[in-house]
Amino acid sequence: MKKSFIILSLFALLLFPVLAQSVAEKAQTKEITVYAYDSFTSDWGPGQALVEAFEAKTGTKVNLIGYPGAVEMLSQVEFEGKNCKADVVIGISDTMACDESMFTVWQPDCYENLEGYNPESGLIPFDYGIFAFVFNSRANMIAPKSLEDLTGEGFKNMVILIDPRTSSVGLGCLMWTIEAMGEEKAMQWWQAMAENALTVSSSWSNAYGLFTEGEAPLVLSYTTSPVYHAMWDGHNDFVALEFSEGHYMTTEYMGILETSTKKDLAKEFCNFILTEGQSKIATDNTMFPANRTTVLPEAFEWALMPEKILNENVKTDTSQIDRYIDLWTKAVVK
Amino acid sequence: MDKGCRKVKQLFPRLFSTGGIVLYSLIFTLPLLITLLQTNLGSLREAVSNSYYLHILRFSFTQALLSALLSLAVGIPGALIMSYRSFRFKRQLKALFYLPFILPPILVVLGFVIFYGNSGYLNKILFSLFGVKIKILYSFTAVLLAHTFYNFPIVITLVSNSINKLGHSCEEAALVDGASAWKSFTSIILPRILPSALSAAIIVFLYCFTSFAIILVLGGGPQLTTLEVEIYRQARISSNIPMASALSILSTVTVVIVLLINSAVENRSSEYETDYSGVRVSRLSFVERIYLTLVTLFVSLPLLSIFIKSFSASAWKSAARVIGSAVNSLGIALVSAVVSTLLALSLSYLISLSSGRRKGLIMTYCTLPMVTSSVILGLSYYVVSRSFGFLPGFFLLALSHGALSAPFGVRTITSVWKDIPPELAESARTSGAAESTVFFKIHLPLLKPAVLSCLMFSFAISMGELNATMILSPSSFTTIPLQIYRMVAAYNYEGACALGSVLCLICFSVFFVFSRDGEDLS
Repeated sequence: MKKSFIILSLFALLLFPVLAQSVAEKAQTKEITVYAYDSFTSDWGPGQALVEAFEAKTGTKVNLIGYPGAVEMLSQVEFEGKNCKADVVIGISDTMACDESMFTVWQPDCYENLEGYNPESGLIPFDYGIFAFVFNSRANMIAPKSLEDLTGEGFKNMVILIDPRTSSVGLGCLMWTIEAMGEEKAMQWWQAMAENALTVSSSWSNAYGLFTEGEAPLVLSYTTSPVYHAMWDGHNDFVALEFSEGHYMTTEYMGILETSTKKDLAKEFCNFILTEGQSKIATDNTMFPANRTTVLPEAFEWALMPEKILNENVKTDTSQIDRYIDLWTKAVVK
Repeated sequence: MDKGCRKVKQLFPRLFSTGGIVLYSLIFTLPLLITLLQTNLGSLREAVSNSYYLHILRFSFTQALLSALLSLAVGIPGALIMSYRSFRFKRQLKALFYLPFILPPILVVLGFVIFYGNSGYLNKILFSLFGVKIKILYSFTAVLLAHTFYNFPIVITLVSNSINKLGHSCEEAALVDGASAWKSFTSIILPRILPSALSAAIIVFLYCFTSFAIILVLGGGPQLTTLEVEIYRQARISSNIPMASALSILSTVTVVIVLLINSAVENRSSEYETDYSGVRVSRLSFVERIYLTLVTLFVSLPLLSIFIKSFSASAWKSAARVIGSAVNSLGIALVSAVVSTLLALSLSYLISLSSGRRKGLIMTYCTLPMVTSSVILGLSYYVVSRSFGFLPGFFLLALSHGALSAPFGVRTITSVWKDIPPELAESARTSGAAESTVFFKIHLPLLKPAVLSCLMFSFAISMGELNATMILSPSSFTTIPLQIYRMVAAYNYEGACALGSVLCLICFSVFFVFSRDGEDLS
C-alpha cells in the first residue's frame, strides 16, 4: 500500500514543474496559434521548418496545431466560434464548403504576384496542385492510363483512395471524377473502386504513408509528388500518371480569423509564408507555390504537367458538395 | 442529548449520500439525456432507413458476432488448459491473459500494426526466411484478427475462472485426459462451460460492437465503419449532432437488448448445480504445449515490438515534442481518479444505507456508465459544451473520465462494504458516536484497500482513454493516447511506439501496485 502512495506522489512531483513551466509559457504574449492539416505540420511537411524560420526572424512564437484532415479542422474552427484559439487557418481548399465570413479581408504585400488572389475574399491562396495518381514504377505491372483502367481486374487491391468526407484531397478526387465523367458515371466508378481499391484512407498522409510503406503501388496524390522523392529520397521510382480523362486542379488557401486578437502578428506570418516561405512550400508541401516570382527548384522538372486540365479558370461550385457526398457514401457501400 | 446535536449528526449521512448521487447525475445522466434528446424524428428515421447507416449497423453487428465466435474458438481450449492442467509458468501466463483488461485498445492496435503489417516484423521474418509476405491489414479480416487478439484472453480468463468456481469431478478430469477427447468435450465439458462461454461471448460482442480505436486505425473507410466511429465522424467532422445523437440511440438500444439477453443467461448459469469434489489437474500434452506457445507468442510479440521499435533517437525526439500531452494525461488521470473515487465512496455509502429493491435500483443506476459506450459519453460532453459555448479542456475531460470509471469503483467498494459486520457500526452508534465518526473511524479504515484499488484503476482507465477524449478534445489539447493515434495515422510508428512504451509502463506499474493491494485485501 505504501508503494501506491509513493507512486502517486512521484506523479504529483513530476507534474508540478511542467505545469509551472506551461503557465510561464502562456504568459509570453508574442505568440500566435496556427491550425493546419497534419501533412503540413508533420515531420516531412513544411510546417516545422517554416515556423522555426519565422520564429528566428521575428521572435514571435508560433503554436502549430495539426488536424487529421482539412474538413475536421474547418468544422472545429466553426465549433469553437468566437472562442477559437487559432489566429491563422492553413489548408482550406477550393473544393470545401467554407463560410468565408469567418475570415478577415486584408491585402498581402505580394498580392499582385499571387495566382488565384481575390481581393474581396479573406481566403489567401498559398499554393495549388493538380490531382493525379502516383505509381510505384518498381511494381511489376503496367501503369494504368485512365481513371477507367483503375476499375479493372488487374488493379484489384492496388489502389489507395481517400475519403472525401474527411480529406480535401479525397474531396478533390470526387470532384475530379464528377467533372471528368459526369455525376452518374462517377458514382458507378466509385462503386466499382470501393470493391477494387485496397482501402479508402481517412487522410492524405495516411494514404501516402501506406503507399510509401509499400502496401499498394497506386495512390491518389498530386502531379508534383514525384518532386518530393527526387529532392529528398534521391530516386524517381514514384511517377505521376497522366490520365486520358484529364486532370483536376485545386488551390489551397489560408485565412486570418475575424476573431483573432493578434491580426498584425498573423499578417506578418502569412506574408512570410507568401514570400520567403514559398520555396519551402514548393519543396516540402510539394505543391506549386502561389507566388509567381518564386524560383522553383530543379527537381520540379519531375512534376507532371498534364495536357488537359478540366477546371482551368473555373471556380468550383461548392453548393452541391453535400449532395455529392451523400451520393458517394451510398455508392461505396452498395 | 439535545436535539440540535442530533440534527448535526444526521446532516453528514444526508449530505454525503445525496452529494454523490447528485454529482453523478450531473456529470453522467444529465449530459447523456441532453444528448439523446438532441436528435429529431428526421434523423432517427434516416438512421434506420438510409442504406449507408443500415450498412454500418450491419457491419458493426456482423464483425462483433464473428469476433466473439473467433475469440471463443481461440480462447476455450486455453480456458480448459488453464483449469484442468498444471504446469510451470501458469501464474505468469495467467497474468499475461489479464493484459487486455488493462491495456488500452490504441496500444493493442499499435502493436498489431507494427507486428502484422505489410512491412511489420512478422513479414520481415517471413520474407527473409521464405521470401513471402502475407497481407493482413486494412481488410475485414484484419478487424476480426485484431479483435480476436484483444479479446480471446478475456474468454480464457472468464471461462477458466468460472470452471474453477464450479469445481469439477475427478471423472470429468479423467475424461479430459482420455483419448476420445472430442466426445467427452461435447457431452460433459461443453454443457458445463456453455453458460460462462456464452456470457464471455456477449462481453466480447459488446466490446467489439462499440469498437473505436481498432476500427479507426484498421478500417475507417465507409465500408469498415462501426456505429461508434460514425458517431464520432458525424459530431466532429460533419457537425451533424442530431444524426450523431440518433446513431447513439441506435447503438444504445442494441447494447441494451444484448445485455438483457446476457442477464437471462447469467440467471440460468447461477441455477447451475455445483458438485465440487476436488480439482484434479494433470500434465500438458504435446498439442497443448504447442497451443500455449502459439497463444503466448500471439499476445506478447506485438506488445514486445512496441518496445523494440521505440529504441531509436528519432522515436524519442518526436515523442519529446509532445511532452505536453503526457502532462495533460497525468493531470487528467490524477483528477479523474480522485473524482471517481470520491464519487464511488459516496455512492457506495448511499447503497449501504438503502435496502431491498431500492438498493438494487441504485446499484443499477450507478453502474450504467459500464454499459454506455465512452464515445457516447464523450459526445454528451461535446454537445453540452457546444450548447454552452465553451471549449472542452482539462476539467471536462477529467470529469468524463471520472464518470466512466466511477462504476468500477462502486463495484469494488460495495463488494468490501457488504462484508463489514453491521455490529461494528451499531456498537459505535450505541456508545454515542456520530454518523460521521462511524464513517471516518470505522468504515473508511476498513475500506482503505478498496479505495486505493479504486484510485489506481480509475487512474489507469483515464491514462488509456481515447474514445471520449477524441470526440471531446479540441485539437490543441492532447493526451498520450490521442497523440499515439495521430502518430499512427500519420505513419510515425517510431514516435507512436516511444509514447506507447511510456503508456505501457505506466499501465503496468499501476496494475502491479493495484494487484498487490488486491492481495493485501484478501
